[in-house]
Amino acid sequence: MASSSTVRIAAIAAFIGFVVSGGVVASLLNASVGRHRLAYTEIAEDGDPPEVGVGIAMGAFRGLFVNYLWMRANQLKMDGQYFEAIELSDAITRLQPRFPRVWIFHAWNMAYNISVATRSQDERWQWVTAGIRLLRDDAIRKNPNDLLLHKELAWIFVHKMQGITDDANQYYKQRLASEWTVILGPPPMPEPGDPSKAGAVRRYIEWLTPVRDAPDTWEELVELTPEAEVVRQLARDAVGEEARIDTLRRWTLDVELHRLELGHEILNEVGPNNLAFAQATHRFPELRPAWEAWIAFLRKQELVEGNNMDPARMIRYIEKYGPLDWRHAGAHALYWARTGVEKNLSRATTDNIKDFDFLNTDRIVVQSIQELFRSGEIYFDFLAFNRGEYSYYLAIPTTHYVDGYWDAMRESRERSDERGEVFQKLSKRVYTSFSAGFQNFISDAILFFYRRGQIEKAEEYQGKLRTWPGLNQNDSALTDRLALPLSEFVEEEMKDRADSPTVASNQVVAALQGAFVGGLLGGDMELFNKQYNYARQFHRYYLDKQLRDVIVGGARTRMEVFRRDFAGFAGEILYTVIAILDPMSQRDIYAMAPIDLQRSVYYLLEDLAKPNFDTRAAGSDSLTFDEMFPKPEGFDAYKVKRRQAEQERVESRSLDVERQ
Amino acid sequence: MKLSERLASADRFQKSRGFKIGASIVVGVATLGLVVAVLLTGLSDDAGGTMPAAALPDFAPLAEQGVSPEQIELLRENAASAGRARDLLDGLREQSGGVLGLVLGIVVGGAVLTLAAWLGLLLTFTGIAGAVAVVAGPLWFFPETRDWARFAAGLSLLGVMFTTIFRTLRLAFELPGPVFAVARNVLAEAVRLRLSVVFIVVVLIGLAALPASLDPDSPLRYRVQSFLQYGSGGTFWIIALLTVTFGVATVSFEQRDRVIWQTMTKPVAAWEYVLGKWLGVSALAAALLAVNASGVFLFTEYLRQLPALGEREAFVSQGEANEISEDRLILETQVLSARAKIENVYEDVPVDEIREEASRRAAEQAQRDPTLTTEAAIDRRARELAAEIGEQLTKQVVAFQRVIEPGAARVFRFPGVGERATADGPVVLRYRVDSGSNAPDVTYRMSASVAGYPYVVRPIALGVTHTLPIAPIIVTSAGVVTLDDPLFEELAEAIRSGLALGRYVTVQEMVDDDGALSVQLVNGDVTMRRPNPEFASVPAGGMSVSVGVGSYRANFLRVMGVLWLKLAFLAMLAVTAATFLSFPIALMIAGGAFLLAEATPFIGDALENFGTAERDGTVILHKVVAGQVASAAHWVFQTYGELRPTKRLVTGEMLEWSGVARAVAVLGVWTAVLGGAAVVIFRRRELATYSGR
Repeated sequence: MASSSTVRIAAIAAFIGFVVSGGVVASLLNASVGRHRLAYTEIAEDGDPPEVGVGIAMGAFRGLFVNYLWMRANQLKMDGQYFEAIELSDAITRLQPRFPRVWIFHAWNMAYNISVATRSQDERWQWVTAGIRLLRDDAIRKNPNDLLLHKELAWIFVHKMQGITDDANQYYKQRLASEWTVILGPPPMPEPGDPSKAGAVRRYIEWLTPVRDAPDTWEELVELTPEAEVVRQLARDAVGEEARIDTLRRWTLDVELHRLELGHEILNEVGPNNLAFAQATHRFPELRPAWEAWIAFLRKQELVEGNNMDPARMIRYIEKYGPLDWRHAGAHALYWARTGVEKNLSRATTDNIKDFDFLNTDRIVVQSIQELFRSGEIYFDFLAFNRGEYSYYLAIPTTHYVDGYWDAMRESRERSDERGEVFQKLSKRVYTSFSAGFQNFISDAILFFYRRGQIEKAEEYQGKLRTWPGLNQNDSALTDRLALPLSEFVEEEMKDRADSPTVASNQVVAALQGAFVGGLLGGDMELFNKQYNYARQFHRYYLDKQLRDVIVGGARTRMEVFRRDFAGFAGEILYTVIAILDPMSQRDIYAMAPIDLQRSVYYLLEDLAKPNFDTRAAGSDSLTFDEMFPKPEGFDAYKVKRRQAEQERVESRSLDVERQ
Repeated sequence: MKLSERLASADRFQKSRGFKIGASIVVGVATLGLVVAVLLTGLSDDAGGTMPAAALPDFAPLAEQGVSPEQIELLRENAASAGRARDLLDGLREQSGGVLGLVLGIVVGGAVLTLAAWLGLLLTFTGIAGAVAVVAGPLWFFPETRDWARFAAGLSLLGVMFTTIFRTLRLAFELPGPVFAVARNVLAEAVRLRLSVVFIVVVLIGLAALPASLDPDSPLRYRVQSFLQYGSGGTFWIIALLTVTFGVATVSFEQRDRVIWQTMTKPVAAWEYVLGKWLGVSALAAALLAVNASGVFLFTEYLRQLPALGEREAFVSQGEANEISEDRLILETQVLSARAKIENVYEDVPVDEIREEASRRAAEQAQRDPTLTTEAAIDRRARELAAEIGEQLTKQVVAFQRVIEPGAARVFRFPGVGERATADGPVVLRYRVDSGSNAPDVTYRMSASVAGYPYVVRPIALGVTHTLPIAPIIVTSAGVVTLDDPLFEELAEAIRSGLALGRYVTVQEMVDDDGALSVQLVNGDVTMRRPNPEFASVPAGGMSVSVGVGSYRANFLRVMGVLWLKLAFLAMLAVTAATFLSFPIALMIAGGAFLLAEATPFIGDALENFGTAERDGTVILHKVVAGQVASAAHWVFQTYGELRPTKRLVTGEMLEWSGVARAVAVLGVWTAVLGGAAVVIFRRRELATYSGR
């Protein structure tokens, strides 16, 4: 009996001991789970997706199950079995939506691994954008403050899309330009006579302001613009109910067609729905403001709901960094990296700083600005691209972002100085890759200014860099180079860099701009010939070295940062210069150009700018297009030949098979 | 007449001999008519779908333009070989078997209906079909509810098939003898036990619902792979769990409920009882697997007829040239195929040289060791060191054969390709390259040259497996055009028509005299003369070629056969466990063994990296024990685990007959051993105590 009682007491004691220790361990575990954000929630609420309930129901087994799925997804990825890896990653993100690494793994798989496994550029684009959408539209929505997710999203934009490692990168760039022309409409063109950064920023803000100020809800829109109901019904009558983006696509198509006065010629080709939509938008001219209000509302919805972006923030970044063209992947990278940094600055403390990768996110911010400097000014033929024709896509350097980089660097250093206990103190280090990147960037800017003929500007930046306090102290060679006269500094900097696509673009574009502005416009034909020949030689050298057909390049190949025919490319640059000149200078520069250059620029002017000139000239004293730009001799033959060559490039990758 | 009376009357009618004969004739004629109609339609479509074989152009007039007879002959040969490229692609389109798949479906349907007629179920099924049509018909007309209509139709179809097969099995077990009597009772019990009914319903519902879960926007090849994976692999797991659970339940519940007294007091031997139980459980698994296989097969054929990425409609590309789309090409040549995997062979390790070098280094080290004072101690230490150094050197030699310096090349040799590959059959190189830490955002460019033909350069992600179709190819003066190139078909046609110069090269022209294929892989882009930044290495098993050696359909059958073998083994495992253990314990043992067997590949991988000692050499005892247990489990279930039938089906890998034979042998032996053990145990069990006098 005594023995039996002892056993019972021992059993009860053991029971109590286990319950208590179990409770303690469970509390510690729960605290750890919360700290490491391993669980999304422990309570299912109305409206939660079913996976939340499933995850909670699985209880402690959820972790084990997710672990198993994670291992298997990894193995499948290595085996190249992407179909299941995607599904498993999807399951993991549903079960553990607060597990950023899985979102990133999933997005990387799609954007990097699966995309290169296919040879179709269209399918590649789908995979890359699927990775982007996953992070931007799902992961960041569920983890709005996670810095890592912002950083990785920005990286896919700046590296995968804007970089040149992917054979299809030129296609991505054009496709992105097309998509964002639809979402926001064509961005403002340069204003003749005002090439300044301030002017460009003002125009971009004015362009986006109606979108930012558009109502947030349909009810608000109808309250402000009751006719919005009518125009929506007109659209529905024309094409039925459809997705927001499709309406925006039809609208953009119509706007572009009318801008270029191509409506009647092409509308029949664009399909009955586009035609019906276009007719609906023009049926009642008095409803035009209502259409515009509705479209601005749709644009805002597409930004906020479709792309998880904030138009107010977009405008703020334009004010801060420059005229961000959202058709450029660098603008998106900058937006997401900077957003991630801003959201987390106040959250970082000495205790948790290891959870935040500010350094690398800041790097992406400056890298994005660098990309915008290299190719942030975009000229893109939306219509040709969407009609499957050879599309005019020109992305050239713009100096609007040079000071933005400088500001970003200063901001990072000030942050590190002011909160040195939290952030790495940059000013105390003799070398940082940050500073090295900045030095290279400013050197490139100096090369650009110098080649364009803006010697004073180049000297100004050389002087600023020489005295910049953040200069890496261990690079005595740079210090020596900076002490050289400008021309010698440029010579030194150019050594062994002629086959770099960024340097090539920088130098050829700058030389041509210098040739046109300083030479043609300045009446200095010797300077023009010198600059023009330099650009021609560089262009040929680079293409001879780099050009090759690649498997998914489409009409443009991976390293093809500019057109293959030099005269055509020079014409494109002259076109961009003409766009920012005042009318008299426009006429003069065209008149001074050699005949082959006149033909190539007239080819673009006639296609892209003639309607604008004629509209402006109508009812005013301005010169008409034909008066400004008389058709050059032999143009018709040139046009036929060029059209043919461009179409051939679209249809075939020019395999250079020996034809009989 | 009341409704119940009408139904009873109809039931009597469908069970009458006259109805069965009449219905069979009607079903047979209808099946035949449909088959003929489909074949005729298919043939006429084919006639319009593929281009007629055009005659080769006449190159003779070129002689007048100064072209030499040798050059004219070369042009003629090239044109003839390029004609074979078109034959190959037409063959790929035709082998998709829209017609054959449909014919198979009709024949299976006809067979099921005939069986149903003889089972006295045809009118019942007709009634069910009518009811489903009433429910699903309206749902079909609305896009939002179309999936539900498809689900209802699929579920009823699967249910009809299962009922037919199940009733046929029960009929088959009407044969005389205790074994069949026990098996028949098992099937009856399967219907009676809620446990098994739940599993059966889950299988049928799961399979019917699966098509709706496929993402219509994803590439067709991924949809097919997903469906095969979950349709075959997922349902196999449910059937396996049913087999284990029901196998344990049918034996242990009989003992628990003392039902077994009634059996064992009759002249039923222990072996007959065990065999009967196994037969019943295996037959149930076979019935479910057959339904599952039919559903998966037919729906896969249906999926195959949907447009792939880059196609306007199935087999019609968006391009004007109607080139075969990449998605379709991969689906037909790498997924719905039966391909043999041939791994490369490395050079033999120079064992003698390594041993000699290891002994020399070991002797030097031992001589220099100041703690060793006697010759015997030095010799002993030298022997120990020689073994260690030999092992390290061997590893280094093997690793060296897998490493490629930046800009350097390495040749990988695949023996036996010539014997296995057909003349024009596609050959695909599967390769994985590691470099540094396999940074996920780094893209390398690797160049591959097959049998000395010009290089093909491809961008690759590190640490993941890539594929490259290496044969057939078209060689032009500008380089190599591979089968997955959108230009391949157009170029082949241009060469055939004499409009372009180039040569169509098949795998048989690439292999050497021994039938081996050599692939030279360069760590960099040879056309740009640009090496990759770091060393590249090919991991173990990371380089292979796969050649088409059979049809997907035959492979599908073999896969299903092996899946049934696995289920039959599990059935015996469950029956054996239940002969001497109570239901929960037996279920735990049998279920645990099943999970262990399925996890064998993972265990094998884990064991390769499983350490049992600390860095300083201290042995960790519990890890040693765990390692031994895991090794033993791995050894026992190795054959079971390595079969991976579903994976082979999904990746288009051939399940070789030799593999099937090995599975039959090994699983057969294990099943027999388990069965023997069950019989021995059963004989020794005191199942009932006679309490009378």
